Amino acid sequence: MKNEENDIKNLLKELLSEEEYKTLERALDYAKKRSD
Amino acid sequence: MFELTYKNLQVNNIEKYSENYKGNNICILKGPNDSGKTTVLSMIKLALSNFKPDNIDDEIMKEKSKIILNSPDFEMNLFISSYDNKFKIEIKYDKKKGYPEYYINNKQEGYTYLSDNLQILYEVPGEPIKKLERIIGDIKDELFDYERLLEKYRDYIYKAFEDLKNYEESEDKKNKLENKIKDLNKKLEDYNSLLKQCEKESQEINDKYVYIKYNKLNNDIILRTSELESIEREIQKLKKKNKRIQRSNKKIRDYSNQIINKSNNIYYSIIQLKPLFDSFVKKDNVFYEIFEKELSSLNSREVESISVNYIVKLYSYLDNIKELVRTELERKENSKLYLQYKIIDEIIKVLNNYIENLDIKILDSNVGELLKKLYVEKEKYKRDIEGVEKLENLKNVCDSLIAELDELKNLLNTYEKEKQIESDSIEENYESQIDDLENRKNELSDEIDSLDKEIIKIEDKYNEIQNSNKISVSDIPVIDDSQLSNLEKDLNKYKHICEYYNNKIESLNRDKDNLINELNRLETIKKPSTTMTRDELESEYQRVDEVKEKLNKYIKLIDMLLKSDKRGFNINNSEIEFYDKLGKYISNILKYIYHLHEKYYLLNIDFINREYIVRLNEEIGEQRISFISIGTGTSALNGLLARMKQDTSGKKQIILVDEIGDMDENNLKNLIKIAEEEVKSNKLLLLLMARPESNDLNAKSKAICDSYRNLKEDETNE
Repeated sequence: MKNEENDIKNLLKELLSEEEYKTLERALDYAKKRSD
Repeated sequence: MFELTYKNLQVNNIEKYSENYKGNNICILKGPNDSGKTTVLSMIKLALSNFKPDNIDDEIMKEKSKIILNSPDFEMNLFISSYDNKFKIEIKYDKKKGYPEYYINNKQEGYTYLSDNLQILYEVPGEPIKKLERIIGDIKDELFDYERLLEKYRDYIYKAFEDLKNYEESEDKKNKLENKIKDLNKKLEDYNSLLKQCEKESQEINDKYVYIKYNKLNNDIILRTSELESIEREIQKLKKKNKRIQRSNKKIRDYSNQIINKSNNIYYSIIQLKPLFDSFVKKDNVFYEIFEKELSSLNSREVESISVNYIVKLYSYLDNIKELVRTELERKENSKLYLQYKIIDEIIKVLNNYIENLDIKILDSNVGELLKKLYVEKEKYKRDIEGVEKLENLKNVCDSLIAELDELKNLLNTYEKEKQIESDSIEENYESQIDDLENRKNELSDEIDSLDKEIIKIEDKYNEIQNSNKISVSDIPVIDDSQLSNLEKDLNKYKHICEYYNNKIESLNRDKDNLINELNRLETIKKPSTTMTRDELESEYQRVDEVKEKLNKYIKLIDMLLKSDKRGFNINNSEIEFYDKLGKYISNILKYIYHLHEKYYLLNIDFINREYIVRLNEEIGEQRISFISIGTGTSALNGLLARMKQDTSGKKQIILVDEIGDMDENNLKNLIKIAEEEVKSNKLLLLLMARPESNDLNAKSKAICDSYRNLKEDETNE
């Protein structure tokens, strides 16, 4: 089950600092670009 | 009633799938794993979600739906009617058309109309704890995926950092190289200018050199040609002399023959006349030398063997004899007897002349007589004058020999003279001189040829210089070898200087090429696509590590959670915080739990005390329900039952239940019993349940639709 609510990013956004979360997002972006 | 048909579905093991399912309002899909049961449920869910997978919450169903829609020629037809057959839904879909057609009670309607009249419930039964564990497991898997993803990202950041560093260093190097190349270009410019100047000066000297050299060669050729002509003349002269000598040799040979003949004749004469001398001269030593010892020299066949001394001696000897004979004759001729004899003899001659030529008759008889007497008289005197005749003979012989000897002497003189001329010629040795001259002539010819070749080499250049008026007449130097040699030295000097400049330029060009190659190599180092600076990349790298560490820690905490079956943890504050946030997050996903026929709103999950924190409604505050108080299988059933019982405001229900194998038989019977009531009240259109059957029993069989028996019986009864 995955929609906006159950996206694990929501959990990590809570757990990580803002800078750390941004880094994670960049990592996800990178992975997305790679898969594209 | 329910009927589903489809075709052209592209999945890996389509051969195991049935494309036709038919049953009544309560059906169980039976079949081994991977025989298409969940696919059928997904297909119905997709049809009821307007063929939009994003409208489907369940991840498995969503994925299945996407696969279904990926089949380019997929077509399906779904028909469901209520128990009393008064409410009918028909959904037709053709992927090529790209949109579904909805018919409600045989009338085509839009999807909104359908969704307004229908409620779809989907459930995968199982314990809430299991579900919770599955969610936590999923989170762990996702964290694990994120961790791998972060590792890749960290590698990328590391590479980007290295690339950027490399790029920035290469930019720095490029700047330095460009400066170096500029310096080299400046140097090259300087050296090229120096070379140009050197070549110009060298060219000027060369022009002068060529000019002088050409004139010198020309002069040399003229001198040699002149010498050659003079030699030619000299050779011609000598050749003429040689001809003369050849002629002189012939004369000598003629003289030689004459001398030998003459000498031999004298020899034979003397041999013949020798008795004359015997009677007159004394046979002393001189006589023997003259007539015997040395005489043979006159009988030679070679001129050189003829003794000139002997001839002189003979000449003198004969002259003496002749003098002696003359004296003796004078003495004898002056005698009376000789005179008488002469007169008689003269008279005889006169008379004989008379007899032969005159015819005087009267004298004939007397004359004859007289002649007889005269002859007798003459005979008397003859004995007396006999010595005189011999002397006269001897005198004549001497005269004759002396005359011969005179001739011989003259011949010998002439011969000697000619010989002298010849010997003089031999001394001059014309042939060898001619040979020497010919050699010199050849040498000169060779030299002229060589000079010609040299002059041809520089002729064009010389003409060019002349035509260009590069050198004025006043510049024409006197042809002087030292000048030429000085020019050669200068030329050599300039040649070396130009060579030095050339080498320098070549070396600088090589250096430049190497630098350009290096620069080109550096040009290939492209700026990395990252927008971050090196510092930012460095801190990003550290942060990625930190995040990864944290994720790893979360995974470990989740592992603890999954393994723990005890109440409570010995954990610190940060871990408490993690579990709290995890609980809230999962609560947000689950939203509700069903307990004792009630639906509770899930606020949080207390993993440490293993309790759900819930709220039934606004009036009642927070409650805690322990994990263990939610019975096995009852939650899903309770959830479904609770939802079935809810007022749907006239909406018909369709319930899809996957994996009913997880539900115990009592619960299942209870569900079917209530469903039966709902079907008969025409509220529930379809309860379609999927149950796996052992793979071992009929591994290859396809899923089938098994209708609920009681309903069949009712239908039969009706």
